[in-house]
Amino acid sequence: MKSIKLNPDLRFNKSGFSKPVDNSNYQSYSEREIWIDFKEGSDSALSYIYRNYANHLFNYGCQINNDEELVRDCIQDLFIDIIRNRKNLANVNVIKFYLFTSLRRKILRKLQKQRNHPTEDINYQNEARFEIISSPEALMINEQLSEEKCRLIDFACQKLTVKQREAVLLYFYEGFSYKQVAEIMDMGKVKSARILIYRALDVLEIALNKVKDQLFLLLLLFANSFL
Amino acid sequence: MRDLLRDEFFIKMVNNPNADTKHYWKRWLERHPERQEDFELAKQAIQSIKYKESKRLLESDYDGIFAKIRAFKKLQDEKESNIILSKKGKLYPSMVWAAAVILFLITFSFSVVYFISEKIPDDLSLHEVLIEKNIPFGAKNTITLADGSVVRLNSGSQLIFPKQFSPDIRTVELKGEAFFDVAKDENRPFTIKTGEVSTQVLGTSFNIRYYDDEENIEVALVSGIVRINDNQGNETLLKPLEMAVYSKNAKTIEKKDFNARLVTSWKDNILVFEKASIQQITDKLERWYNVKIKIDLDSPIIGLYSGEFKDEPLDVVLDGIGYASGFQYYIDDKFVTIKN
Repeated sequence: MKSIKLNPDLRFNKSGFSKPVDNSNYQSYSEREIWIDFKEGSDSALSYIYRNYANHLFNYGCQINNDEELVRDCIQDLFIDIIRNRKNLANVNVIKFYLFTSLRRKILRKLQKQRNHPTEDINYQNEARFEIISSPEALMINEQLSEEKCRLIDFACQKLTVKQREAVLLYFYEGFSYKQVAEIMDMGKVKSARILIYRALDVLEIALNKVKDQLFLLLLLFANSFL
Repeated sequence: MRDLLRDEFFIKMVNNPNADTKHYWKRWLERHPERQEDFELAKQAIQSIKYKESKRLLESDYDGIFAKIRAFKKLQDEKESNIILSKKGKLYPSMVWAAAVILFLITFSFSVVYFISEKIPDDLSLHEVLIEKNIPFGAKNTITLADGSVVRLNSGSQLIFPKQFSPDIRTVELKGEAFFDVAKDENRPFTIKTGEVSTQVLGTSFNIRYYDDEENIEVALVSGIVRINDNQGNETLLKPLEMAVYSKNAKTIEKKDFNARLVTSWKDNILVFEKASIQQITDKLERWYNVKIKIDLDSPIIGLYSGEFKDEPLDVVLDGIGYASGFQYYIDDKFVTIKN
């Protein structure tokens, strides 16, 4: 196997499904194949997985719990676990999904041990988790969505619960499906994830409709000034 | 706007656009021009949302964790190689134990329906219930067998398998192409019958191909071990990265190297061409997309084409190849005409 040069400056890619930046032969492989390679002991598959997901995992872990050292330990444990058990791992199509699910469980278990708290308590007791910001900088196109409009979305997001915010970020930002969100957040049924996300989206939609009205108003004003 | 925000496929188009999503949403906008504003607004809202506080590992932590992980893996690898050494003396212990991917490509130029109808009763006890799964052209499907083995079937394939495997042997019969992920069971070898050739494994992953209109039988092994028998009593063992090519005319097996990407990528919906002639390309596309392609050229296209398409619709693929090879094409439902 070809060894891959580490690239710590890997862009914090929004989709998270980005292919490696270097020219390794993994460019053309599916995640499922890379995972199978990893299970067979390939070092470059391990490199690929770490390089692509270590920072995503760290960010996600820190949203669950802001003890950075604990999150780093959990990430290391997670990788050691999958290396130790690699031969018995199930095949996966989306590596990030597997890693997120495992990391979340690991962090919650560790917190539970540390503090003797029931799981749900730890996860949602602190309001300052999974905070969302709507930023015009993140837009790739010429921003029709001005700062004012982003502020409306921001304001709407503040009305969401921690659990809703986590689900919305997993769904919008990380690009997971409802089914995956349900599994990552340990919700049992896909329906629960759907309901949770639908409710959050309804709040967002109200904000977006306001934006729409504003755009319309602006257009009217603009038209009037020519009359 | 609700419908868009709730639509996973819409989110996919925003975060991770590919030809399929682009194509779909372009059509959608054509059908719903009044939704243009909603569309843009929903798209921008999704793009604008991010973590308020995005964290990254410090470079030193990033390198430190990776160093520890790699050190652990090195130790683990050494431990495993010791186990394999201590077991030496048995038949291929490392290979038997290794998680394996076997690739197995089979192509026939003759009609082999005869073999299928005749052979099944020999190898599977008659009281077992046989299931026949047919995959039409243009489709792919994944099925799970009674022992937990998973089979990915390519377009135009047929798999015949028992509802329950017998206690001492697992046998299936394939026509077409399939990638097998065989559940490990050393007491029950898994045999795949493909016409005159049968392939036996203990617990691995492999690919089989058996189309009526093709010439050779090819078995390509990515890792693990595979035993191939023909009906003349010849036996061939394949090592990883070897491919066996069986000629039905000459009744001989020849070993050679192969390109794993070219042979296995179909199971992940990746269409790969490597120095393919126009005839080879159209043959593959016909099966992949379930279309009929007519080549109507004034002057023949001599060049060979290499390229790769993941999850792309036919027009995107034809655009790509057409651009490189210099042809035009017309699609009329299931019929494609290629012109200069």
